[in-house]
This record gives sequence, C-alpha cells and structure tokens, in this order.
Amino acid sequence: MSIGDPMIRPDARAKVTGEARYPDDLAPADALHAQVVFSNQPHARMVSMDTTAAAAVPGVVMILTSADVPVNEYGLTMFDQPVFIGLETTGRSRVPADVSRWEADHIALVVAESPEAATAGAEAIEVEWEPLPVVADIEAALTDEVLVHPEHESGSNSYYGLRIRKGDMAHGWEQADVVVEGTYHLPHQEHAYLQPEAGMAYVDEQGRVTVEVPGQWAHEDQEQIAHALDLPPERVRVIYPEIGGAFGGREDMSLQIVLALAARALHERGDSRPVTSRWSREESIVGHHKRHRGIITARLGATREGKITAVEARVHLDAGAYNYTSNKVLGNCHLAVAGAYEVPNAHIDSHAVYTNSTPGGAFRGFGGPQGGFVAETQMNKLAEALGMDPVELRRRNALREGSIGITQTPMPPGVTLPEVIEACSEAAGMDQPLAPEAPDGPFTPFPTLPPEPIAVKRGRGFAAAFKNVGFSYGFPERCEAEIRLHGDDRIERVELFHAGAEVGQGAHTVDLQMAADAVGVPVEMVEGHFSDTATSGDSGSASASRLTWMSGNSILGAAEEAHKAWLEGDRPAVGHFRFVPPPTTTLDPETGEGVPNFTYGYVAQAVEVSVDIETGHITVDRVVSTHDVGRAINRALVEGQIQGGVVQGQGYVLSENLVVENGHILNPRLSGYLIPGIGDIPGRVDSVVLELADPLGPWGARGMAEMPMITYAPAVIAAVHDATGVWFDEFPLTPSRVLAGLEEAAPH
Amino acid sequence: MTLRLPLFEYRTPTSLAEAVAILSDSDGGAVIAGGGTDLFPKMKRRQTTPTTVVSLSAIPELSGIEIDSEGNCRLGASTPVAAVAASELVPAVVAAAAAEIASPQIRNTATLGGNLCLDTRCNYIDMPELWREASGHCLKDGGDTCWVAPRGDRCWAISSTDLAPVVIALNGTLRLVGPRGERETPAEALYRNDGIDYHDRSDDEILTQVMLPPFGGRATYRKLRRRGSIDFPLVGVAAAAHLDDRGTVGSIRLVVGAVASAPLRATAAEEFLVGRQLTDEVIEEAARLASHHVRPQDNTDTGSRYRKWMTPVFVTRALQDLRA
Repeated sequence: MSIGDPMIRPDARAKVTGEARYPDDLAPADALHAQVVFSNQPHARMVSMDTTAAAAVPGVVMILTSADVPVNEYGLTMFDQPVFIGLETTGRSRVPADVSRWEADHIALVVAESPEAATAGAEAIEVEWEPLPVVADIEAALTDEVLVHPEHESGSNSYYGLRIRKGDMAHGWEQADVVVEGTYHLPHQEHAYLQPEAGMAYVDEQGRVTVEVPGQWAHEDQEQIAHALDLPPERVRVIYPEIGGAFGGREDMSLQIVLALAARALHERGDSRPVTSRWSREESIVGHHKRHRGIITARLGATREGKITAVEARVHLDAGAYNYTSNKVLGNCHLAVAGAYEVPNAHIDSHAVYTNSTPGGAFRGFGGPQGGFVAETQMNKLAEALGMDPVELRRRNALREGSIGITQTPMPPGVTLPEVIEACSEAAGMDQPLAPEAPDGPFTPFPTLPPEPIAVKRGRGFAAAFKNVGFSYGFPERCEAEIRLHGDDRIERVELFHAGAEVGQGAHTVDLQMAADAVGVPVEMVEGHFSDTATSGDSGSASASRLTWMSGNSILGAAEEAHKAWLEGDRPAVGHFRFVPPPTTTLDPETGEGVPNFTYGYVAQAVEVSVDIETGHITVDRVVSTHDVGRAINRALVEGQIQGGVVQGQGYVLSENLVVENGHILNPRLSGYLIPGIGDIPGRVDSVVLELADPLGPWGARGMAEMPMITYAPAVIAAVHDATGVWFDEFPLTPSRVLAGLEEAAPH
Repeated sequence: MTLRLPLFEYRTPTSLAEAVAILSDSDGGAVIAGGGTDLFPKMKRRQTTPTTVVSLSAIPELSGIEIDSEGNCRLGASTPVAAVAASELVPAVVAAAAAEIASPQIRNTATLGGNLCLDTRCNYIDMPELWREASGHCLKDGGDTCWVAPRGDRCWAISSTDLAPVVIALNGTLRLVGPRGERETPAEALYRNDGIDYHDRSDDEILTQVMLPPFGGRATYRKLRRRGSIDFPLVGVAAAAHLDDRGTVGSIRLVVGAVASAPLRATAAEEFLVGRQLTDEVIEEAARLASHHVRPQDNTDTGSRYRKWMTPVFVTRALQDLRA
C-alpha cells in the first residue's frame, strides 16, 4: 500500500545534491538577459518616456514597452493591472496605462546580450513623471480624497464588499452577560521563498510561445499570457521547472507575461535564442504582493455560561494598487472573522480597499490568518472575561456535525472541530498547570536569556480554527488527471499526467502514491509527467489546501477510466478524468446567505512561551499543532507542512516587520525583514495528526497545508497574555513593541 | 539587478614582508581580506572598490593558537573564528563570544583579525549603491551629511565586533606589522569613537597577532541580538573580574560594545565596583554608571531607544554572570 507510506520524496536527492534545475539554472550559454524596469513611483502620471539612449547602450537587443503589448492588462480575477505603464498602447485594455499606481509597476523590459548590458540599458531609460498624491494606507484610502482607480466608476477606493446579517443583533446583545471588543491591526507578511522570481522563455518547435517559470497554476499563467499577447491559449505553453517555494506568492504574474512578450518579439525578428530574467531578493520583495495588512474591529458577546450570543465585525484589508486575489482573500477573512463557532446573531461588513501601497494577495491561509487572529483573540479575551478555561469555552461553541454556519447554511458533512480541540487539549495537557520549566526540545533556547530566571515569565495559549479546502464562492473548481496503463497481459508501467504544482510541499510525491494505489501497482511503477500545459489538463492551483484533495479525486477518476479502457483491450489504456466537487455559491449581497465552500479542514494549537520581560524577547518553547487530515497520504510530508507552517507563523507573529511608508517598502531585504532562522524557531513542535475521514476526500484525506498558520498568531498572543497579563492587538511582537506594551500596562 | 563584485586584483602573499610590500606599494588602493565575509558584500554594494584585495590566508605564521612559555595565549590574526570558538586554549569567554558571531558558515570563513578590524556599520551606508545615491551619500560614503545625526559633523556608524570588547576586557595586546616595522598596542588603544576613522591602524599595517595575558578570574560576554542564528550585536557587554573568596571585586574591566563607533570602557562603573560585592543594589548602580552616558543612535534594526534601554539590562546580566 502506498497510501500512508511516509516514503522519501523522489525529488529529494536531486534537491539535496543541487542537481535539480530551478528556473535560474535553465538558461543556456547563449541566452539573452532581460531586466524588468520598475516605475519606482507609488502614484504618478507618466509625462514622457524616452528609450533612445537605452537602446543605444552596447549589448541592448531590444526594449519592450506598453506599445508592444497587444492587450495591456492582466489579473487573476480582474483585469485591473497594465502589463507596462506607458503612454503608447494599442487601446485594447480596460485599465489606463499612463499612471503608475505602485512602486513596482513595470515600465519596460530591456533585453540584452548580458545581465550587465540589460542593467545599463534599464538605467538609461529616461522618464518624466508628474507626481500624484499617494494613497498610503487604509485610513487615507477611506477618505476617498484621492482615487487609485478613478476609471472604476464607483467613486470609492473601497471597491469590494461583503456582508453578513444573521439573526437579531439587538437580541444578541441583550442576551450577552459579557461583551469583549477590540481593534486589531494586522501586518503585512512577505513570502520570502528561497528562490526569487526567475524564468526563461522561447518559441518551441511547434511555434508555441513557451515560458518556463515557477508558478502555482500553469493553466492560469497560460491564460493570462495568452490574454495579454492576444493568442489562443494553445499557442502558449507554460512549463514549471523545480519551484523554490510559493506560499501564494506565485499565484499572480511576475515575469510570465513580459518573458513571453520578449520571446515572441525575438522570434519575429528571427532571433531564436531563449531569453531569461531573474529578480534579486530586493526586486522580489518589492515586486510581488504580500499578505494583506488590515484593520479589524470586532465585538463578541456571550452568556455567563459561555454561549456566544452575537458577533460583530468590520474588516478592512489593504488590497494595494491592484486587486490580485483580494476579493477572494476578503471572502475567506469574512468567514474566518466569525470564528469556527455556532453564532446565532452576526453583523459583519468586510471591504477590500485600493491604496498606492504594495498589493495584498494570496499567502498561506488566504485571509484566514487575519480573520482567525481576531476571532480567536476575541475568544481568548472572552474566556478571560468569563473566568472560563479557553478550551471549555470552545467546547461549548464549536461547530459540529449538522451546525448551521455563519452563512446560514449547514456545514458540509464531516465537521470534526470538537475532536480536534479535545485531542489538542489532551496532548498539550491543558487541564494541568503549566510546568515552570520549558520542556526539552531539539532546539536550543535563545542565547540572551538572563542568568537568573526571575525576568522570564512562562505562559500558554490556545486557539482553534477551520479553513476551506478548495476554491470558494462559486469560483470554478475542477481538476484534471490522465493515467496511461502500459503492458500486455498485465500492467507493466503507469504514466500519470498532472499539472498540480510541486512548490516544495511534496505534491508530486503524493500524486505518485495516490496513482499507484488507485491503479493497484507499486509506486515505483508510476512515472509522473507534471506541470506542462502541453501534456496535462488543467489541475487548478497549488493553493487553498486543495491539491491533495482535488488531485486525489481526479487521479481516482482517471484510474477508473483507465481500468475500463484496459478491460476493453486498449493498449496503452488511457483514462482522462476531470473531477468537479460539489458546487459553491456567492453570498447574498444583503444577508451573506450562501454555500461558500464544499469542505473544511480543522486545526487547534496550544503554544507555550517564555517572555523575557526585561528585553521583550519571546521564546516559543513548545507547540502542539493538531490537525484532522482525514487520511495522511504521506505522514512525513504532513509533519513537514505542520512544522513549516508553524515556523512561517512564528515569523508572522514575532519578527517579520515590513516597513511601508508612502507606498515604498523600506526594508526589502532579509537583513532588515527578519524571517526566523533555525535559532529562532520553537523549541519543539508536537504534531498531533488525526485521521477522521472527510466523506468526499480521496481515501478520506482533507487539506491541511494552510491550517498551522491560522491559529498560530492568536495562540502565541494568548500565551504572551498568560505570561504577562497584557493583550497585544497589534503584531509582530518585536522586542521593543513587547517592552512598550508591558511598560504601558504597568508603568515603572 | 543582482549585485556583483567589481573587478579587482586578488593577491595571496606567502610572507608578511610580501604582504606589507603589496599594501605599501598600492598607494591606498589595496585592502586586506581576512575571510572577506564583510569586505566582499561591501564591495558588491560599492561601498569600497579596492584595486587589490590582499588575502592573508597563505601566510603560515598568521594562523593558529598557542600558549607561550609565560602563559600568554597567542592567537594568529588569520585564525578562523570557528577555530577560536572551538579552541580549548583560549579563555572560555573568548570561545563563547566567538561562537556568537554571525552564522556557522560565516564563522568558518571569517577570521579573528577580520572581526577585530571590522568596519563600522550603519543602516544608511550598508545599502546597495542605488539606494545610497537615492538618499544622498552620507559622510562615511564621501558625502557631507550624516543621515543619522544630520546636524552633527561626525559619523555615527557602529562598532559591531563581538571579540573586541572581550579582548579589551581581558587586557589583550595586539601586534601590528607595517613598512616601519612591528609594534604592539593595548587592544583598547586600537579603537576610536569615530565611524569613519574607527581604527588607529594605517592602511599598510597588518594586524598579525592577539596576545591575551593569563587570566584566572571570571569573565563573561552578553550579546543582545534579534536573531538566534545570525546577528551582529545590538549591544555587547564584556566583563572580566577578579573576585575574592567573599565575592568582593578586586579588579574589573567592563566594556560595552555596539553602542558607539568603538567599544567603550565603562570606567566609572569599574571604579565603583572595585571593593564592593556584587549585590543587586551594587549591580544596579554599576549598570546605571555604565549606561547613562551611552547614546546609541537610530542606525541599526532596532530603534535607538530600545538599545538605550537594553544597555543597563545587559550590563546587569553580565555582572550577574560574574557572581553566579
């Protein structure tokens, strides 16, 4: 049985030894080099651009600008972003191209014989700008004094909203014996994947404009490239080489369209050399979207017995200059902010807001961490106000089988939150007093702890959440797979064609495991062909914790089809299957009624911290991360996701402090934007993995990859409160912020 | 735009005399590379563009650690930081401080001499050229304004060596060799509280050896850092003391690093501590004395106020270590 086997990933050896080919390793010696030129203008109208001097730089082959883009617009869910800002266009796009709305808007691509020549060419482009007032943040945007997209006729920067109106709020507040409230400021987060953006493009032997880039959804990349280049999708080919991390940061375009444009333009002038480009770390941090920052105000009421009576919330997420996936992220945040609880009365308003700041977009959890932070911090404050154990409070309110969700429809079957909460509480010993000493762990504590432990306070926090698996709100959801069975009397070889992106999480490994089991052969017999739009159908994106769930179902279908063909005597026997899950719907614009999702994953975490109250430094001593994964297809990969998610959460809540001022990121490098190193991660992570089957999941599996991110920040904040008595409604908890908070609570 | 090294000549002399000759013949265009872990990134950022980089790695007598006949610990300047951290010959505090420098990879490459001669750092200068041009070149970068303290006339870049405070606390001596011969200087005298002219060392002088006298007392190094895996000190406190049986301080040297352009001796605190036992009250007063004149600037990744707060905390922790 290959299902459940923590087998070593087939790509491990090549990745460890350096044999694996990442996008920056692809270029042959004769490749041309392209440099993207950023506008560096958060908000300005272009007055003139002159590329004459740049074109004359020795080694510069060509310069592409807005005039060279057939349809100068793109976007994953809305075409609101020009490929290039510029004055000359074909006139075939809906978004005006003469205004730079973001410091990383592209104004040109310089293609040259060497990286040095491309850089020199980029520096020689002369642009004159007329500065426009910068809409720096949510507060500035909400005044609507300056509009980021005046072409959208709404007259407001607040361009997308969602509501929930459930029950009777007056009744809910009347029944409440206790009410807690807060205004929470959620920070940006940078994906900081190992490998900055890079790629290569050329026209292949069949005349297809071919782009080899890291991404999360090859067919969506193909579609957006085709749209901008005004080509039928089948004339565009996207191939994913090895991908050095994604986390949502590769869901939107970076180099895809501009490289495709360059490859086609070179081909048209008879130059068949591939063109390659790469971003430095700074370009990467400035040049792609972030986890949304946001401001959320919330009230939560409950009876003395701890039954929730009312939830009220007002959510604003900073979409930045372009939508990216903000409308979808907002939808998730909108659900998450109500918590994973039975709520009889709710009033929630959520808005995505344009600014001239860095765009918000997809990042592991996709709105869940922001909404979940508020929901769980409110719950922990409520537990304190009630004098009730935080686990018991959750027991009394948790969504369960048959619960009606916040959108006034039944939860999809297979709600296991109560079981997850119990398992986490038990593993963490939540009913026992917290031990005075940190438990042993594989990682050594931070070396600045004081010699005398008087300044160290320990604390423990708890949080629980749910997160949708798969696309939401009626977004088309499907996944294709193809299986070919080779042999004569018996199956000798199996080929799997699939486009689900291997972004480091191990997707291809579990694909092979699932295909082997579905066909009934050892995993060694399965040969995978992955992530090439020329050979695979559309498998959807590596996002929304959906890939194992969706891929597994598509593979099961393909295997069944292939078996039928085999029995009919086809050799090879080919099975192609397109899996479509139960439909979802948008929410009613007035009440928020609807079926937003077809299934969920459930998580609870308990976190122990030590707070050095003299320095403000926080050490996480232990994390108990509990997940119902339905069925662990590969237990080692599940634990890898848990540990990785916890570490990413550690950066989010403790150290990652993106400084954005007036539309400019001021610390676009890893020396100033501090992601956790091995010396900063929790002392130990105990992964508790439950396998309570999802009724619709392949082999019962559920998605789980985003879940460790969602509860981590509120659990740490609660633990810090337990240690110090101070609630922090804003993070990251940098040492100076912690000290300031302690000082404010108890002035010296 | 990926940062690349500029072109330069790379020399690996095999004797000190040859190295000195290259440096003195270069007319200031040559620089010394220890491990290059600080120099090469600075060159990539065009903070310095030497014509010649002189590696000391092929000069045998510059490497190694030994105890001489008088019990002094002698460390060659080219000894890798990792070797210092792993050495059983050096005082434990030196090994401990070396183990806190940067990251394992950098410690394998960086040298003792390189750390002691580490250029001063600042948020405004340790930036790619494009950024420095955009903000305007600062004093240390050939401009006429210090962006940390624009009204002043000096550079406030920070001394960020972890080892200098320890070597000074242990009353170490440095040996330098130049075209005019060899000289020895107390480690303390090498440093100047000026972000640009932070060294009393001419361009053609080579730090060859560190000599630590025998030390039978108690010593410690306490480093404030944001990150566990890799970090410069944000505050570094070294203390070395002799205590009698009753815990009374007979002598003490207390040095605060990373809060100025040079490691600072806390002499007022030292004088106060001599003859006293390290009670909580005494430590508190000593921490106040060691910190009240310290004025960290807002030029590293935590604000100046936080580092100002942390200075007495880390002096306290160092003194608590001594009584432990």
